[in-house]
Amino acid sequence: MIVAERKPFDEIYEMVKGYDTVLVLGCGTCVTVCMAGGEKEVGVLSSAIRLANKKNNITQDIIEDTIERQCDREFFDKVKKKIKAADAVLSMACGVGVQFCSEVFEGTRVLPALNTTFYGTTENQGVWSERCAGCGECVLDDFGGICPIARCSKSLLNGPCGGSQNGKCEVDPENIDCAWQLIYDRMKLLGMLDKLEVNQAVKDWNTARDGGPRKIVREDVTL
Amino acid sequence: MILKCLEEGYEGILILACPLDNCKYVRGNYRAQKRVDAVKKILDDIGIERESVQIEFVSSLDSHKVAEAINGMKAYLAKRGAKG
Repeated sequence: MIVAERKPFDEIYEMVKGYDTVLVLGCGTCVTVCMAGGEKEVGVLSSAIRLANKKNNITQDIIEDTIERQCDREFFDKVKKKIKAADAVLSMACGVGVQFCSEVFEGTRVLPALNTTFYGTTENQGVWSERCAGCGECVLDDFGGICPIARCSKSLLNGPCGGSQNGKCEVDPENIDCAWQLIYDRMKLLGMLDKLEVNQAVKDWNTARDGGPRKIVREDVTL
Repeated sequence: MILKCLEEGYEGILILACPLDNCKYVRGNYRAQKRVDAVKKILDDIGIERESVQIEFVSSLDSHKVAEAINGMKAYLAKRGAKG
């Protein structure tokens, strides 16, 4: 899923200043799972803005709603009227949702309440970590299901660097595992260490962000 | 829920939870403590006194502690000039 975290309150409060009616719009998919922008978080942020307004004697209508997804057009139907009536939408979706909302409702100011961070997994309740960098050419079959691009700080494809100590990465030894230690251990477990003897060719980063904004068109499913 | 109460004009909220390590839901009171801490952080951001929300861990046998907690909150509100 896409993992995000809420921006600091001060930053958000500054953004919504001056708008008479603000719709705080949550997203029911990834950011609900990572507890950053779902219905509950919409309620908390809306309350915080209302309380701050009360304290500062500011009159502002804060309206709340959450749709299933902000990255698909059809889900906006439910809140179309609310969006059009609002002076600004404070979107609690990921960067995709914020942009798409802004695209669907071109004349509306759409503001981001979250910092979109990575594609990741829930390690434990309240703990999320990165797993995929969306490079566009998956190499997980060569590395036992552990991605050296997303999980190695240097995205190395041919073994660890000198900064690997006791299974940890020198970038942050307390919090970052050395991806190459993980890869080695996994390949050993799978009985596939010989596969690591194969030199990986230089990666073509054209399929990643380096090739510019990406787009997929599937003729078999287009209308 | 806590923020909603504040929004509705309640100036102080006292949450009474079971004693730590003695919760029917095992860790429910620890989780409640974390939620209250999170709310206090929000109050800091807004500039509202964090003492507006308090949590105490008491059992049904601790009537004196319950009274102490309630009187403590009343005293705090009186000090703030709010209606107790």
